[in-house]
Amino acid sequence: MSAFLEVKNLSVVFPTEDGRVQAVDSLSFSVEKGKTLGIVGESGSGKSVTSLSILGLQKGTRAEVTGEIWVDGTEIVSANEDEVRKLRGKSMAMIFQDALAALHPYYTVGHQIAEAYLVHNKVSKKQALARAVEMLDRVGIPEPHKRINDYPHQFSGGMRQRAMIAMALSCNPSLLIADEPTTALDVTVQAQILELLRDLQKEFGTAIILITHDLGVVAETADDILLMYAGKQIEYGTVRDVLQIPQHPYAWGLLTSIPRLTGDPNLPLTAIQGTPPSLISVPSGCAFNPRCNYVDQVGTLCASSVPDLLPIAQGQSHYVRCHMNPALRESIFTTQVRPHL
Amino acid sequence: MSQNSKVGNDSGEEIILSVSGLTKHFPGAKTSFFGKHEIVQAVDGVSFDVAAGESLGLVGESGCGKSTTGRLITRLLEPTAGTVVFDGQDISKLNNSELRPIRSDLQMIFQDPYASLNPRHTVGTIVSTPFKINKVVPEGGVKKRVQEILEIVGLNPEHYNRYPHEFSGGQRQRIGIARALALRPKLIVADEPVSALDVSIQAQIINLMKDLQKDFGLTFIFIAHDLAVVRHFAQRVAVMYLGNIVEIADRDTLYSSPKHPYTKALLSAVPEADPDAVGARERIRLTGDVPNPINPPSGCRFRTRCWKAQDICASSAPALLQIGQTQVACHFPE
Amino acid sequence: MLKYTLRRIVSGTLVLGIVSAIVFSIFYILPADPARLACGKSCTPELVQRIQVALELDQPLAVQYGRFIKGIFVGRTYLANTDAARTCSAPCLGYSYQTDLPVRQLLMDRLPATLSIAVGASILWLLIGLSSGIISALRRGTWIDRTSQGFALAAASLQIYFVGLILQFIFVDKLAWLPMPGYSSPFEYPLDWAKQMVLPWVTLAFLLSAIYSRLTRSGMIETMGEDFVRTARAKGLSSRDVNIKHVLRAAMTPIVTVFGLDLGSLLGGAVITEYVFNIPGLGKLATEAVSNLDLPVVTGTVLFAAFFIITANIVVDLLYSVLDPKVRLT
Repeated sequence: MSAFLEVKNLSVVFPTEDGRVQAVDSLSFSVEKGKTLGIVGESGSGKSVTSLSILGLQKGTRAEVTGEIWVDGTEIVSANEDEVRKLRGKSMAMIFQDALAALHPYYTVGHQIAEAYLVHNKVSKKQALARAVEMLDRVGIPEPHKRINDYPHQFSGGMRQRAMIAMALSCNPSLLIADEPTTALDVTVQAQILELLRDLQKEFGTAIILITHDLGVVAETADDILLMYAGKQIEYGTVRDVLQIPQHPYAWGLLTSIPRLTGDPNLPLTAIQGTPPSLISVPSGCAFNPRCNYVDQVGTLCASSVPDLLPIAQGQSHYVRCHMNPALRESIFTTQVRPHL
Repeated sequence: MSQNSKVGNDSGEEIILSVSGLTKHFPGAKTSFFGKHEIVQAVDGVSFDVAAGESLGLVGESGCGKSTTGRLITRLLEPTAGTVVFDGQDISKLNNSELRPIRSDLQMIFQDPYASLNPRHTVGTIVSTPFKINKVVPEGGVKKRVQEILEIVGLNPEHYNRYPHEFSGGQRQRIGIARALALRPKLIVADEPVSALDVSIQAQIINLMKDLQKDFGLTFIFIAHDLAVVRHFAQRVAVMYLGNIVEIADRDTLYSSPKHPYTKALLSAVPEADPDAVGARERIRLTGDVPNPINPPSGCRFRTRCWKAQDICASSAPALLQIGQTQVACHFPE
Repeated sequence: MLKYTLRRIVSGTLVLGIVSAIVFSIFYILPADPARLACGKSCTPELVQRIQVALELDQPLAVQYGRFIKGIFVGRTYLANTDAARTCSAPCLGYSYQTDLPVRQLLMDRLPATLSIAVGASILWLLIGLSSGIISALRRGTWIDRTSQGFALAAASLQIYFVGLILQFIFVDKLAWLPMPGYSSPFEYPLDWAKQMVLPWVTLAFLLSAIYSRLTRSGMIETMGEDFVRTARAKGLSSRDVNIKHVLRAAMTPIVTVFGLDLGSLLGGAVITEYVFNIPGLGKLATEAVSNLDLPVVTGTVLFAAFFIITANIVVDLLYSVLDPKVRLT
């Protein structure tokens, strides 16, 4: 079965006064229907830029997008704005971190959901509003026939995000991109929203791209993880593989540095030294090398050449971009990293 | 609604801060033309003690009053009622000039390292301001002392003349910590000090604050929404909900056997970065959002989202009572 | 909403009271004596005194002001109990010292000209300002944008009297395409009215459309960066729908406010425009009254202008609550 979404060698460059900024660099991944891919990275890693490229929202801006993005048989990068526009909202939809900012302050929630449905369906305004009520009900908003007349500011944070989801799913898209959908929410509400997304996915077989910085959220929601650093994918595999036998020193750093509810809280956290690089001055070679604890293991290679993204073993679907050989990585992981997990 | 029973630890350590019946009501919008202002009950009858050298975590979701509590303790806000006894003195009703000598002992670290530093001042100026305000001249001069502090918090002392925008988010939070540390305060209130930072930077700052606490014998009140972060920093944890403390206990007790349903739900909602833990843990899904603090539910404020709620929960507010190692405000504790 | 409106009307009326009191006091402490000015060349001290009594200038300030306010609400009678008694019915604003005509009548006579200028010019500047601003914002950075904004900057820095006189010189004096500006009744002589009004409209709109163009452009560009615009595009809306229904709708709200206030202050008298083109409007009436120290007319025009500005403020605030659902009027 071919994947619903397939991204091949995606690169996005922004020409700026300080030079050309490579926000995304030769990214390749795929998502099948009914599956969730978690794209994980810190600020400036290129994860949000990637999602905007998939929706083709950078068309008409100065961003230079190259590579291929196949959505349901249509190639987005080379398609014209009108072709992509017909897919937006219908085949692929997006929800954002800050639902209050992402909803129009002057239109009612019902109007905004109905609008999304009206664009792609030949129905009356009344039918579209009925669809809005149905969708609000589906995402768990009580008294939806009344609440469609509310404005976004009259909703609570959790309800706004539910309304965003209702809007995004109103046309039954096959792909949903969720950009930090729960970051602005309280943890009990976050749990509700993640559960709702899982339920809806089961019901409609939606492919989901979940963009987040939170490895916990990914572990609970995603099937696959794509770990990004300075615009490049540095590790890619199933959730189980990446979280349990992580290969990249950055993944090691992230997993050992996050505070958890298990383990000895008196031990200091294993912090990653330094700070994420600015995209204007990405370190040469492996972008992570100035922060990597194991940079000495392979001579001067790390600072001089960019490692390729390779499967950790022949025939494996777990990829990593690191100069260390698999045996060396395994021995470091077992002796120095696993004890801290 | 107030929780009058004293919350503290009884181990006979020196109590540096004792908060009792602390309440803050903000005026909200007017209800009608001639009506009164609505009242936002941000903090309502909060009591606890903090021992010298201890770090107390204050956790809860948005609107629970944890940040307001922090600002009341550091007297950036004036309490509506209740007392804040710091180092033997009730500071809850002091005016600005009376507060000045206390400020050097009572410092605050803020969430947003971008907004809390003046962009037009150099790092040197920012960190030396506390000395100037309090007219303190340290041994060897202000500059030497500031550079020492910069080094302590992991910044390059040669960056004395740089401006905040030249630093990354994590480094800026270090500047904020340096400023708070300048006068060797006795108590630091840290309000969400790591939540604006990248994941890989959070651990650096948590480790730094932990080291400082150990090295200088500082007392910390650590305010955060992230239970995992609090677990790595605080020795004792108070859970707040809608302006009340619902549970307070030492860390291990609270995390291993939460007594209040809200604490339990909160803990079960934290996503864990471990695929094996997913599904293995008991899940409690609260319905709905936190209610509006303008019109909090009667009786127990958590009852509208609680799966254990009975009639009594609506009619009477549970007092914070000692059950084993824990103090909990619930009619039906676990 | 009703309560809010009522409260605003009450407070607006209070402001009018304060404005009138201030104007009254200023004239009272001025060294010039209106009675002397009204007396003319062959003046005697007796005559001055008689006029003073006739104009009630011999009364204390508080009494004068009290009678003035009473006149507005219930009318008043001058020189009561004498042969020369005359009754001025409510709302009475007194009589002009200069012409002895009721101020109310003077204001009503002058209002249509000002109204013509204000309404005509505002339609023109809205049309030009908004459309050029929208086009500039949508074609940001292109030659269309740069040209129109360059024009706007130049136009905004030119003064009305300068533009007015230049236009009059070209179109009236040299080309003779247009008659001398002035005012004819639009009901009796609609064509003359329009021809005479063209220059004042264009002149006023020249400056204001430049300002509105820049306002619209910056509002649109700012809104285009908002998250909800990205959401609208992500829904698959055409760029036309995105720009009109989402961007323009949000960007219009502050412009409506500015427009309401501009129109309000213009209705009180387009002072410079009326002066330049010698049009008998409220602004011209006010300038003439000030230079003649014609206290009742000055007070009348100031109150009239203040009334328009306060009304515009209330209307704008009410409108804002309709346009922006987040605004709660309390």
